[in-house]
Amino acid sequence: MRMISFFFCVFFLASCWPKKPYLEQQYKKVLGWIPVYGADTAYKKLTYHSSPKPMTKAGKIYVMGTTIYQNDIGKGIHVINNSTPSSARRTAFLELPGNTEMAVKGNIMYANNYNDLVLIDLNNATKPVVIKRLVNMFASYNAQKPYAWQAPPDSGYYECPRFYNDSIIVKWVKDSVYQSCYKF
Amino acid sequence: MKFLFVTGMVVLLFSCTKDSDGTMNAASNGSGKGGSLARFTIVDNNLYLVDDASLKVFNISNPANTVLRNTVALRFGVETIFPYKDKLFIGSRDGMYIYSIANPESPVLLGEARHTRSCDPVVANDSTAFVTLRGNQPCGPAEDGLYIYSIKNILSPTLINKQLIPTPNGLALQDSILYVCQKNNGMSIYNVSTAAAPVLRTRLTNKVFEDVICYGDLLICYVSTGLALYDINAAANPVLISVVNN
Repeated sequence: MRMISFFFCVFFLASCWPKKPYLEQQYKKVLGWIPVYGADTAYKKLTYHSSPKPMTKAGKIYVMGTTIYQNDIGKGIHVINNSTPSSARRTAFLELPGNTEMAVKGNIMYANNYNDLVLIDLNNATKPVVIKRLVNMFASYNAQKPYAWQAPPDSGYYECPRFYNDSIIVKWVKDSVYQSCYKF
Repeated sequence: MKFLFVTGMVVLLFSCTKDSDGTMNAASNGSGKGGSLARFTIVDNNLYLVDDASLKVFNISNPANTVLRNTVALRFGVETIFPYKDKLFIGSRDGMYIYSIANPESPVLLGEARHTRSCDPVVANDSTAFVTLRGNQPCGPAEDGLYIYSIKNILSPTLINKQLIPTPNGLALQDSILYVCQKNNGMSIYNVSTAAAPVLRTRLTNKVFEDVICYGDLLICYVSTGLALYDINAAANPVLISVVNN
């Protein structure tokens, strides 16, 4: 009998949980990430560094002849001289905010600068330039698996991003946020 | 006659460069080679891009005038694209999709293998597709493992083997050797000459392996700290050459 009443109680209590107002859950704040937006003209650009930069967060790789390219997630592309594999080393850095992808054919590199596809002419090794930009080629947003530039660098709750025509998320800062989006 | 001779010479020369450059095995069209986690791939004069829900085709024969030629709608959750001959293998969170690019600007869906929700890069050869499924958050509930599909009937890929291994990620295939990255769990190297019965040959355990490219006798690995390069003259026994770290 005691058992039954115990179960009854648990059952009773449990039935309360879903009835907790939805908004109350939504408005509970926790430590998480908030996006900082910036004018996209300041970030949709290529800056070439002729000296190697340290890797922040290693990303995808691509190989062309004796050169290996490695993405630094959200930051750009490291150029690695692999003419002698035993002494392969970084030699330069293509700073390209929001970058995660690249491919090369001939002297042209195809890469993303946030959601734009940019074509970079590598002919002049000391001054690669963007020769073509196709805007907004990564159009969608998937809350389950956002692109690198749509989510904070580490796991946790974050304020779901909004999308504007003239600005993009340029960084994430720690702050108290509502439990809206979550990165695993 | 003179014209024929010149043409003949050009063809001969071309065949020489192609043969002598053994490292360009999968990329004889003037482009390089990407890993299995890539969202971009170049086949001849076209760049293929997958975003979360579509396959986009760009004609790049004149780079400065690159144009978007086609957008093929896909289901949500697309993550990777892998080219093999006149086909594209697309890894998405609910399955593997095979498109024909016999008509390069108009990809046509040939076959698909739906699976439990997961993250899943794919590589392939003429008869087999190798897919890794990683079922932890946020990927989905699938069982972690290497899933091997026969694609002899390209219209309906069939599962012929699976190896349940933890946290598989990027992978690469060279001849009969398959390299499977397993993040914190290292890398497993299989002989897949009989695709339905892969044989584990070696495991590398001292690095966090994310993705890998076979490039002639060089194994180029994307590891958590940067790059690791291995000699694969003995294909199943990679020998570390160097690391490019911070």
